[in-house]
Amino acid sequence: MKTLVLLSILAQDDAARVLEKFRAARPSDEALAIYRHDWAPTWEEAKERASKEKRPIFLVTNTNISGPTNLYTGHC
Amino acid sequence: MRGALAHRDVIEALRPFIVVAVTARHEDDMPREVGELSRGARNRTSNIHCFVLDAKARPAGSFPAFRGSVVDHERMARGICDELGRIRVELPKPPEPAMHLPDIKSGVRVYLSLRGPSSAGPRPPGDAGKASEGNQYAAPVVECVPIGERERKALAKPERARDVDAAELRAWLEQLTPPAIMEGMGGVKEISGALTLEPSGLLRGDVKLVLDDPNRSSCRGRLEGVVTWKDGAFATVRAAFEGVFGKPDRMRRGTMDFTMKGAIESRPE
Repeated sequence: MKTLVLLSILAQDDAARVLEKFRAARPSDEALAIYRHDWAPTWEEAKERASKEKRPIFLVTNTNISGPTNLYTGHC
Repeated sequence: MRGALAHRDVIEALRPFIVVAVTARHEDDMPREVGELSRGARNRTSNIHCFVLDAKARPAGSFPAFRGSVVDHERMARGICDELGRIRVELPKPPEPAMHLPDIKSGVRVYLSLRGPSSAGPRPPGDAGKASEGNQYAAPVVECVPIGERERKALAKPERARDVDAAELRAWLEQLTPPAIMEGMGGVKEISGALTLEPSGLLRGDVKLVLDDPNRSSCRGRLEGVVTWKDGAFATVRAAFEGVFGKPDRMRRGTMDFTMKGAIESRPE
């Protein structure tokens, strides 16, 4: 019984340590500044929202022969 | 480009706007009206172009993202702000600032940050837009991926510790590859690694991803996470990845090592 309790405590310590690593690896809001833009994930959504909210659109186009890219998510 | 978009002056200048990026191999693969705009603006100096459109999606002006051969995000940011000041379009009162991270109804959000070999120590806050070696990594990657049956099965609650083949989590782990590879298709050719999932929820092990570029560039690192279950079924995951991306240098004499930090969190929280 004592062994089981000890194992449980060790597992909880490990989990806490891993979650701390997760928090450290997740970028801060400062590092994620690019997401302060009001992004629309698609052109269709951008148009629809612009019309509804009476706001202009800033569109970035990118032609990239080496593959589909995504400036919003970052694999560009 | 993302480094310039992350610059504080650009963020402020674009507050009234809805921002959207359309990327494709060719204009034919873009929505028709975007393809026409891009084709009309094409020039030899940049494959990235910026357009300002009014609320009815009518073009008000455009400009190339790059000027010159050196990618300098500080200069790009200044250029964007200058052009935005030149183009006439009605600007409404901007909404309150908020974060607009990519999100998904049922899946995971994967974050990836890279630091170039010449960068010593973390960057100070607000420095994301400054030029430096490896500055294509100035802003973190944030991708969302659905949770499928494959991942749920791989992460089902075990009675005792068991191995999980990293390939079973391929859809998530392949997001832990760097952007701007510029060779190959930017995809993952091979993924390997044995993870261990314990009844306590701990998931850990080493992972290797080989890219599809001719040099077989690779990312290696350690994944450590905590999985939770509800009624025996997968419920949440939070994981950290620490690794190294070895990129052959331009002269192909050696490899530059980029430090990688990844985080995986299930959505919704």
